[in-house]
Amino acid sequence: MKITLLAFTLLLSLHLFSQNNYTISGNIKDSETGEDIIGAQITIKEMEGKGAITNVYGFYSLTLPEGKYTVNYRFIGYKTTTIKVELNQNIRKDLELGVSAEMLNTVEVTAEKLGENLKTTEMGVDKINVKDIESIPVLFGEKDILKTMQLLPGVKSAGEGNSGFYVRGGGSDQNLILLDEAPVYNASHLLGFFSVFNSDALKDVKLYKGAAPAEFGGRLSSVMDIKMKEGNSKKLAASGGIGLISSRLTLEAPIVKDKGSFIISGRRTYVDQFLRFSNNDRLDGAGLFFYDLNAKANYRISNKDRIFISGYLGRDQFKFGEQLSFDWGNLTSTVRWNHIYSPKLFGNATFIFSKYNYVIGIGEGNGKIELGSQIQDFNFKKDFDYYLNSNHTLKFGANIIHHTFEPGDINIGEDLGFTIDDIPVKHSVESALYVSDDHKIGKRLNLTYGLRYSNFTQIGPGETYAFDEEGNVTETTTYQTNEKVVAYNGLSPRFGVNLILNEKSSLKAGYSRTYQYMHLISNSTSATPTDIWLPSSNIIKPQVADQVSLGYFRNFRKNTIEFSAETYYKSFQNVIDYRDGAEVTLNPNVEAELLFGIGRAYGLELLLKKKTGKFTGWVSYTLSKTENQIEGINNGDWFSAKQDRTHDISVVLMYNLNERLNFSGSWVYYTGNAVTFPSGKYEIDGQVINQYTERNGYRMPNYHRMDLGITLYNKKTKIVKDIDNKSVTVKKKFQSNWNFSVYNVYGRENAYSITFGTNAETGLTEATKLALFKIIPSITYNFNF
Amino acid sequence: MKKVFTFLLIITAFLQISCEEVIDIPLNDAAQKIVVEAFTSNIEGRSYVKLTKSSTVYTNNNFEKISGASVIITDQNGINSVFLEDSTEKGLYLFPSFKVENNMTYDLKINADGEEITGTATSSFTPSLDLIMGAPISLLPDTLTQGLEFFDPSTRLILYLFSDPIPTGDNYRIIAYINGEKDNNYYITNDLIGSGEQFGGVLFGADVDSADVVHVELLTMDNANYDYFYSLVNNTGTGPFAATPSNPVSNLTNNALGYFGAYLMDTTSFVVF
Repeated sequence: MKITLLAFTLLLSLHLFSQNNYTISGNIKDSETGEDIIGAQITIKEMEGKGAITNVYGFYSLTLPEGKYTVNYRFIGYKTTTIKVELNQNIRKDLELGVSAEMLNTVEVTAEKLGENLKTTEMGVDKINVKDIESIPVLFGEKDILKTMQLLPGVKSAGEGNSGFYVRGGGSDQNLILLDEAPVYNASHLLGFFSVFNSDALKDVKLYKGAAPAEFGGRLSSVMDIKMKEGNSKKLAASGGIGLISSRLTLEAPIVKDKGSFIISGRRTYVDQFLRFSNNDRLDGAGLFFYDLNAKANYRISNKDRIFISGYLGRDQFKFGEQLSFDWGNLTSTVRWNHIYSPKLFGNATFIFSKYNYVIGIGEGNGKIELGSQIQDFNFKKDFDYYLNSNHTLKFGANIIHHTFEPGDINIGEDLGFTIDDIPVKHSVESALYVSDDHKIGKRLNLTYGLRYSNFTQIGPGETYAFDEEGNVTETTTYQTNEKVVAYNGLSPRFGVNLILNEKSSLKAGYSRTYQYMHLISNSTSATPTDIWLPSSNIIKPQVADQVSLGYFRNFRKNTIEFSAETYYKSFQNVIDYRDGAEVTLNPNVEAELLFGIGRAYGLELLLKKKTGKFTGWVSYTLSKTENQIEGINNGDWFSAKQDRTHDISVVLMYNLNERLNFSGSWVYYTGNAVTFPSGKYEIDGQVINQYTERNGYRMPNYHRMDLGITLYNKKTKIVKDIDNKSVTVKKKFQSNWNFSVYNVYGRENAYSITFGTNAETGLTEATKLALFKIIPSITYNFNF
Repeated sequence: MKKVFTFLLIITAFLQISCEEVIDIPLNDAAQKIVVEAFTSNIEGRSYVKLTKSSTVYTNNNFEKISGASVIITDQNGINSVFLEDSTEKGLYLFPSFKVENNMTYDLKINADGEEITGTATSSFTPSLDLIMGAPISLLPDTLTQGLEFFDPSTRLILYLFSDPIPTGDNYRIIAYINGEKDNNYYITNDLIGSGEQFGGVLFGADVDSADVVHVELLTMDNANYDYFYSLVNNTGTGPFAATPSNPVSNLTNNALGYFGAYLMDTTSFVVF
């Protein structure tokens, strides 16, 4: 309530300044596909420093004093459109931007005078346009936005070929991954080797590593905001690909031309076919595959109202004959209603359903045992963008989520003659209110300040336990339906400042506090489908992180080369770890196995990026440290977190030789993860057991790898005669390309794991390194028409 | 167990393209520690205390034995049993007539190498096996072999059944000897899930053939012992999907490694069909 009040007083005080001003607003779309353009820049020739940027729905709004203006609409890779307006009333101007002609013929993206990175207060933000990453070589040729993100500074891969990632020292469960605003609880397929995101259906990805805007909350370390394509609203289009691991097909078409469209995209793997070739006869009856299905539709009811419906379904399925099955996956759906209340006020209401579950089945018919777990959310959001004037853009909104956690759902077939109780279901309600303001002061200073208030309440029905030192239950309390069990509140300020030093450089600083009320319980060093989410409770306190960051941004060569240096310091509270020997799977008292402590992370991130021209790419370097201190682990001393890596280097280069040939390459190097190795051994029950002295006191060997790729495009244009019998070049309807790539070109045997065991012949202990993926060539055929 | 089993299959697919290699990893040398294996039971002659020392990782596996120690077990009624070093095997301490009673708390006190190590263990009830047999999968009852199609039907497995009493808090371990040789796998379970039910399963990993003579001990133990063996099995390895490794949770003082258990057991022997 206090916050709403604050928002209103802010609005009132700001209103005093506006007099005789008018607003130009509208939607920006791609002229060929009708897709909304996110982040297009609107500038006013007559008023330097004034401008607007389209939001995620392509909407912009700019309020200026009465007058005549020249308005430029720009987006990288598109032709700049200039219009003249006489602003003596509010103007609605919807516009379509065309792909620049040069791009078609020479594959050279026009170098725009953007310099966007210098102007916003955003720092610690990585944007990836899905189109731009097409040619980056990846494992098995599977385009994967999560893996491409790992090549950016401050983002670390969770392991060889893994789609999991760590941001600025945070755990892999501290990333809020949103697909069309719906949280995706387990973003990986096949034990993390592939992400659940089918690039064909995606449009835009934004990763906030630093101070995320106040509209986001619920995770400590980062927000990955992924937007699906809307679908072509001009004509029927199809695209697809055939690769080593999977095949993909996407169809998109208008529902009513220029009013609505849909897209449906599917992907299925054939890893199960690999098992057939395996030497192991016992695997003959085995099946293993995953699939993804993305669908989205949007319709413009009026020029003020628009409806979006999007959904994702993805599952991994493993089975062995009829007797054993294991499947897991996510289901999300989002329904949104955009409404333009006034040229200055844009609103969006969202209803989201999100679910992750896994089921292990043993046996068949009435003799079947099923073990399952799931998390399910119903989520309602209302967000507003209020373009008060050219100096203030306000965002405010509210959000309420109902979570249901089912840690263990056990079904025993009736023939088996016994029953086992489920692990109790937990319910909670997470709610938030936020307000933020983008504030321009003069030409050189931009501020963003915001506040997010959140509440997390665990509600009945259910039981809570109190535990003694050894983890035995000492007290049980029972709660009725909807009765409050425990509640937590959090106030998260967000602050960003950008001082533009000159045309080429700027200085930024930021602070944010984040709360996380849901915790991933996983005792394994790798992500597994059986990891479960648990709510904050009387035992598990919310995790809290504070981050301060400072950055210097400098552009070279007319903004075609960007350089940034950012530093950060982060402190964590209520970091979760496990008692030694914790039993995590199907344990009703799992909370007794947890230990809590504090953490700290700090680092320096450098990025040099060339965005346009024949030759594009980036070099990134991260120097960082991440440590935890938890009572009961490592004698209570600080220890390196497993994701602590001192150095992390990525080089990504792409070269367009001509319109038919594109070369790409990447090279990564990082310090080995902190790991626990034995420092001694002893004998118990006639067996040799490793003895450990400190947590994560050793390092895995340093990791490095080079990948190369070539994309060969079939001819993109053809020459036809026009009416006057003149030869003209037109774009071919059917476009296709072959992508050849090699993962780990020089066959570096990077250690995936190191195991200590006794050699049966010599009787001595030795360390055995397991390396996955030595040299993996792959080939993919892609098409669209 | 099933989780591991499923992953193994998935991983196998990937291992087709992976490789293993022995490498040189320099390791620190931990200070030598006393290792206690104090196993006591209700079966006469099946109680012993073994005292050894830990060593560095890359030395051989001939662990130093500790002689001349004092080993005393005291029950809750104050009756002392002094375990004496065996005349033939160094570091092995015995009290031949020692027997663990039901629902009794025992204190162990060791003085070795100038250090005093203590531990406490509590016995509960004597379990009983309802059924134990070894036979090819094809001959085992269908309801008990769900999910075993991964194995060849002629594979011989050891199947067990025992009944858990209704109150929660019981912990079990099975130790198997095949033709007199101890099976090195650990079979442990508790009744946090399925309390009061009949427990059944297969001793995966026990490699048996027709006509093998199998001796089995089903024993109950306290929570501290369950935690010790659970963490010994799950946390001491360093494989790709293993938990962050740590030392098993010991119930001994003075940073000693090992355990002290007061077990009650049911034993039986049979011949594999």
